[in-house]
Amino acid sequence: MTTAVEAVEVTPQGLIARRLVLLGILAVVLITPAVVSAPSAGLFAQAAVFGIIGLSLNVLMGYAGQISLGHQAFVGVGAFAAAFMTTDGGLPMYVSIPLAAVIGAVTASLLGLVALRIQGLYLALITLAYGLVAERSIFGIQPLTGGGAGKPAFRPAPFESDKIYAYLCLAVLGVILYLDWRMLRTKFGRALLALKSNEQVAASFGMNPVFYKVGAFVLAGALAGLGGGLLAFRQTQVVSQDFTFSTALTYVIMVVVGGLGSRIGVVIGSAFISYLPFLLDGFGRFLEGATTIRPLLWFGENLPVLKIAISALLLLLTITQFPGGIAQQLHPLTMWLSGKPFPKHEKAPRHKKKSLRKKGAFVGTDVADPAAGNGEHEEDPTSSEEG
Amino acid sequence: MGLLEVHGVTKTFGGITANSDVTLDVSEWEIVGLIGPNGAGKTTLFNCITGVYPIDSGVIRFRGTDISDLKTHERAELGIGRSFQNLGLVRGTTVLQNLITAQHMTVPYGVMAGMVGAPETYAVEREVVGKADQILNFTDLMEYRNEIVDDLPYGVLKNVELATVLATDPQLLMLDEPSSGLSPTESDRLGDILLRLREELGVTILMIEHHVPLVLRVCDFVYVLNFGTLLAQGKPKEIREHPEVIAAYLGGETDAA
Repeated sequence: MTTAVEAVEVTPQGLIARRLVLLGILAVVLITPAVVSAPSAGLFAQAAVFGIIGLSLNVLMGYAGQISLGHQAFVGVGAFAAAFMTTDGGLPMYVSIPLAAVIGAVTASLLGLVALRIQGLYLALITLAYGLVAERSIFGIQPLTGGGAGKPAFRPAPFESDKIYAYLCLAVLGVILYLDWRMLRTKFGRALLALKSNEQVAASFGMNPVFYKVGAFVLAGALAGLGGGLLAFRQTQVVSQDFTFSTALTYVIMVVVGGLGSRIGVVIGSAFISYLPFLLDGFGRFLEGATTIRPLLWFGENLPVLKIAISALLLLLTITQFPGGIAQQLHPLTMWLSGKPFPKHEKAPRHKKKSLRKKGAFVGTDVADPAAGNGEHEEDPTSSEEG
Repeated sequence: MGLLEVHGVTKTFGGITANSDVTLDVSEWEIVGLIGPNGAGKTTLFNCITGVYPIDSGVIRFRGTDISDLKTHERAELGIGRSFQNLGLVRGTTVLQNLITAQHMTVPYGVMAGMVGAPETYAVEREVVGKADQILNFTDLMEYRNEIVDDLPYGVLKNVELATVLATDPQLLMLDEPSSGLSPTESDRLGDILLRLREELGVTILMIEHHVPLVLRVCDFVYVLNFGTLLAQGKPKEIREHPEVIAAYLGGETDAA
């Protein structure tokens, strides 16, 4: 592998340049909610929340090698629980959102217990059914969800402003990113990766498969519930139509397109999918003004409807061409930014993986191919900067 | 007292008897070979000993305690480490990360402490990396330290796997065909490593192995399985001349002596 690519050494000036660029990106992200309009800040908050939801699903699909096609149920339960506790129960927002995380964790742990017995396609079906059942039963409870009209969830004093709420969401996302980073570099994360690779091998390392599998679902459920709680107060009105199966599919798409197993890729993918309807809206309006060509106009008018088709196309492209998703595309950039020698001409590692798989050198198979990119973004634990 | 005692173990899958009344003993400091033709039930026996399969009857004792009903990870915690015929490695991660992952049992902090980045975890992680490096030096794999395992050739991966099992700090090392995929020189080196393991770390080894020169060189005692039953046992040299063993391997007839 090392013969084909040439590693570039980093000079001190180069390192400073990288740090500056990194700071610049962070600054842009931090300043954006303050300078944009209130509705745009609202979209920003939504993107941050989607990032949290994406990271939640990534724990299952990217790290633990499990699948959830019913993730909208956990997010929805979190959202309704938070709205209910604040609007009907009178609890303050900063209590009901963490409680929503707890409720998400409890509901997901049930699915975790199921995942102990079944795997792969059947687990996918069970999670799908789980989501649909939640949709029909829990989300139909009138006092909890307010029926078709939905449940209001008003924000308390300082957070009424969309801008301040956007900062709250961003801060929570920041904390989750930190936890995710530490998790993957310590005991829990390593156990999940081992479990995904091969359960027997993980057990031979002394890892209790029951504990870590259920643990993965509990963690993912907690994050999904947290995301749901934040989403409830973002929208100030929780409607059950927002948590249908197509929502679950959207979550899966944003995680896969972002890059399974890569937290930065997942956050970017999730933010992108969250923005997609509005981007398409804007593009449609632009076409309306810019052209009189009939097919283009028609295209412009129907863009929002084509959202699902575009997502599906992205998913297809990702799976066939770039299994590492956005993260794989950004890999040279992220390596550069983290100040490490990076290979100049990165080759997609999947070809090599394929050949190895053919030989059957590894036991066990994955549900979805979680990608080339996986783990590579992880700095090797010795070169850590935090020493 | 034997470190590992397998007594009268029988394991059937449906109508097929994979292991029938197998009894074997491994004492501390011993290197014991387990040989037999393909399909003789060697790997099944490994899976029974490590708890992958529950056994139908018989007893498996480790340090005198019955471990027959323990889960795989519980047996690992007692000090049984194993390698796999098709490589027990964590895909998509580096050699170093594999060795770190394998030290799971010796990492003292809880999963939450690791997740929130508690101060003590950083010191532990440094120790873990240090131990991984020690093992890489010991097994002569330092040059592959930061390679993703998926990119390495099979022969190297066999050694990486051995290093990984060592990282679990086992008292009993169970190796499933450690020399498969290795060249004669490489398997000579493997023999050196195995003997040094016993000398320097006091590890006991039970290994499934086909490579006769390696078995003759390192094993103190050999068990031969054929069609799920114990065909013979003895010193490697005796086994090599054993008529039934020769017959089993060559598929010929023999007058049981």
